Amino acid sequence: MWTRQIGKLVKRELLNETRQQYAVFGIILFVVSTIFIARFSFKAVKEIPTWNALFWIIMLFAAVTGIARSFAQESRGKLLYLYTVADPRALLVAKMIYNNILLVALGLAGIAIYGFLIGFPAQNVGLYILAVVLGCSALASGFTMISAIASKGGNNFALMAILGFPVLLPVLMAGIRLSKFAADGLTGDGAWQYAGLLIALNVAVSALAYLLFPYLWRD
Amino acid sequence: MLRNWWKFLGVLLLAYSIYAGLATPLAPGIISAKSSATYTSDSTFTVTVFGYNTRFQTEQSGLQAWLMNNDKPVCATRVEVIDETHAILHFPPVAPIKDPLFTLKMHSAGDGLLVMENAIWTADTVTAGLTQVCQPKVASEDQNYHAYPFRYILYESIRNLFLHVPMWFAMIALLSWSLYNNFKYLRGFNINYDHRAHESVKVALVFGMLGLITGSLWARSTWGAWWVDDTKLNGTAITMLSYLAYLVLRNSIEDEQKRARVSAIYSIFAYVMMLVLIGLLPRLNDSLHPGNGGNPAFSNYDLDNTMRPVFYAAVLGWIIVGIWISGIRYRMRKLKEAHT
Repeated sequence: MWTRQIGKLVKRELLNETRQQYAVFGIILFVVSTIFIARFSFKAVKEIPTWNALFWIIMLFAAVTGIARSFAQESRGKLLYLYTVADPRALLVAKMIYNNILLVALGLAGIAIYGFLIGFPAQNVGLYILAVVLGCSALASGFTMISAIASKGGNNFALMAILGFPVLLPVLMAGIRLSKFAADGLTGDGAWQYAGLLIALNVAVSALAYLLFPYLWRD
Repeated sequence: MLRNWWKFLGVLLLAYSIYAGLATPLAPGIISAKSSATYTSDSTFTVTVFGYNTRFQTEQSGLQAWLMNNDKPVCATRVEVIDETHAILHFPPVAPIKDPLFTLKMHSAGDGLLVMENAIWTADTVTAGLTQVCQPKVASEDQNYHAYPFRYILYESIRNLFLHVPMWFAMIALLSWSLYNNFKYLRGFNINYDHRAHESVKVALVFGMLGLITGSLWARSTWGAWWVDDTKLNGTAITMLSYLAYLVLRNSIEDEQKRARVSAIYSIFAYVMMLVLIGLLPRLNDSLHPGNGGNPAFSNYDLDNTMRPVFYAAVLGWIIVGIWISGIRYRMRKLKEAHT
């Protein structure tokens, strides 16, 4: 019953997306144009730490832009309808699943475009991609909750950034560290420690969101 | 009267920590030692010693000085005392074994054992040397006075421990108090709990600012910069940013109950991330702070026995006063609302 509800809600999100494609294309365009700006302003990024940090900053802003709409896009009528038919937790889980898919796909596309336009000096490609997947997934879960909070407070993009950046900084830092390990070609306890931290943060953020969302949802 | 016993306790503890923190002297120690020659194996040389809180003149009769190299002592042939804090030590020719660094030690009955690690560096490259090994007569290494430890570079700034560290304890205690009130609010939606949570966050931010200021001053005098790139510093700065965001979020919502609910949820989120930032990440990174590289807590080595009771009193005192201030602010707010 519950999983069916989640499945339906995820499907609804995907349908929404296919109907108004400009949204997803908008984020992709955002990522591509940011990477172009980076290319024009940096020419070539030689130091690996800078290269790595630049990618994560682009992903951070893409995540905010992409997920800010998550709750804000629903009109008042739609919200009332969802309120009557769906379990709030199912709705949150559905949004999280959808945002995870969106952001991980965006991260993979992003690293491909970034590598193509700026260069890809990372030595351990597999670990780097793992870092992107884990980092984007944790960012997606965190920003889903933040966007729910921000949607209650006037819905603006600035609020989302103000609320999200400091709280999700540990996630971003762990992502940067792990991908730095991958870029330097180092695998070992250090790298797996950060991979574990990313997964743990993802679980913690999702669990907190799951527990607290019903309070937020009730209006 | 009896109901407020904890307020009296807080004031007493604070008064004790401030008085004991400032009135207890610093133990004597050696600030600098200058050698007259870099080639100590050629001829006799002198070492000019600058002490702090030392009593060279008073203790002149029993004053001994010797250099240590590879656990082998070389005694000064003559100790020439100029005043209480200045002395010139005369040494015979001596060549270091392997390590070209000498540790300077001085001892007298009143001052106890004074040690300066790696006080003298020589350009000698002798691998087998060091003649005239002696046996300094040290009755007891214990210092028989009540004083704070003399630490190289730290010196008198060691007292800042009683101001800087309790600020963070008080901040975290107030944020925890706020978290508790947030949970209470979410259980029964009683708006008073939200007000308590809000006021304690505000007071916590003041303590955080004070902690940053005292820390910045301390960093300038010991590490040489107002702000250093340290995981603990960045972690606390980010924590404060997230609680400032909490205040911004509160301002953006009009309805009182809705504001209370949304901000309670956000602050629970922020609290958990704070635990990660200042509890977990410093364990994974190196830090300049004591107990660095693995453990963000104090070890026995960092906290001397004379400092321990004062430090604990300061921590407890500031926490109590912090909670008290937030309680007063909460009551002021109630009164203001009752009037309008």
